Amino acid sequence: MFVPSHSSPRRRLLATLLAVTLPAAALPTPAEAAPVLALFADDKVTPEAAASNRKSVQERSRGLRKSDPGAAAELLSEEAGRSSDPVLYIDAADAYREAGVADKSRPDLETGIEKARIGLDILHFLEDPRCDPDWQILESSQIAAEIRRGEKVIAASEQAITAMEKPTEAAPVADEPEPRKKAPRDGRGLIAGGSLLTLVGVGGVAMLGAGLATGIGAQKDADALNEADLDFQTKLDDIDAKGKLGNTLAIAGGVVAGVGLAAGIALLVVGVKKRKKYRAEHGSGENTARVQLLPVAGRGQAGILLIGRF
Amino acid sequence: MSFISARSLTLALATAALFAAPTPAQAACSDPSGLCLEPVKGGKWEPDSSLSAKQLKAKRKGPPGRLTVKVDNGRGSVFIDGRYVGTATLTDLSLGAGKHDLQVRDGAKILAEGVLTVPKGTSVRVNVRHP
Repeated sequence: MFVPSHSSPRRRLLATLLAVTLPAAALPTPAEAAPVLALFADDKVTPEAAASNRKSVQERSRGLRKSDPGAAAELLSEEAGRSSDPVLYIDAADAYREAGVADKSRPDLETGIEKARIGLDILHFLEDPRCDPDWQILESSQIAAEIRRGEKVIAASEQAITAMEKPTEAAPVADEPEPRKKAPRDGRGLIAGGSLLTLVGVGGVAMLGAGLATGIGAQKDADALNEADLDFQTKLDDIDAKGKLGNTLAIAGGVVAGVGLAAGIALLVVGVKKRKKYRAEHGSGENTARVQLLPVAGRGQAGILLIGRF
Repeated sequence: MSFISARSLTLALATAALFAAPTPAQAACSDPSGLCLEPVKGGKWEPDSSLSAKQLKAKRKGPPGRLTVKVDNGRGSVFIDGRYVGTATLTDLSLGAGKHDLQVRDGAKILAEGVLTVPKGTSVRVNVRHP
């Protein structure tokens, strides 16, 4: 069986199924579609023979309907057209309905409605005196039930179309978490950063002071040493090490103090300016940043106290 | 730069409108039987009549005719000689020459029924009115 390379996977699957299940000779060409076969076939069609053919088609389509109702619909529709079986037309309609609902496809639903209508046409005709007595495709006792089934499929398909066309109600907006409130650009961050750096700078000053004090003390100790002492060299080495430590401390403290104080004071200045500007624009609030630098003196200690509120 | 002049466009539109106008055969059917047969030599429509079983089984001789069935303003399935042959519009359906039992219906509603005579080797066109 030739399957065009551009055909859909669904069509290819259908073609494969047909190829496997039907002998090639039994396949009608498009020109031999149901109408001509039915018209010129003098063969008698009994409900039993039709039921047997129908059952095999329904079994083939059953597995497909779960996985791919669209392919099942095409298979059923093709077989319905071949045999003019109204039950298969309604089965196809139902499969198209399933496919239409699954894929939200209006064309599938409309195709299903038309297939069901064809099924209903045939079912009603089977009750008509013009119907060929040799063309009894369904037991007369089953006709009414199949008509009801066909009408239900049409109603369900129409309902699905209506539901599809109904404008989707605006989905309730999920309570989105409020975006994190951005901190106002009021200079408080700069003041805080500046204060911290100033504190580090002050720490550097303290290191510088400590280093200098250590160095001076070591120098004094070295000057006081007596070269005549037996342990002169040992003491000198100790003092030298102490002096070097003092120097290191002083140098490191100087660097830290310089960088910390320079950057910290600069940030403080910018921050305070920004804060003032912000307060002028937005008014002052309770949460006003405040930085205080206070001298502290006590027994054996002296320094600067930095108080900040941000 | 314009590739189509206004005059030629007007002419083309007028020509298209001429072709799009319904031909008499496609006009809505107003026959009380619900079926209008396009006049053709030998063709005949006998509404509400029917063929006997013997007439239905009679062997048809000569080259087959062709039948086209259209339903105006709706749909309908076509049944010939007691069997379903398709849903309108049916085009150039090969049909043995002679008398045929014809019914067109939409569900429980019969749109047209009767006996249609198809001449040998001739195309017959019928329009069925959908109420």
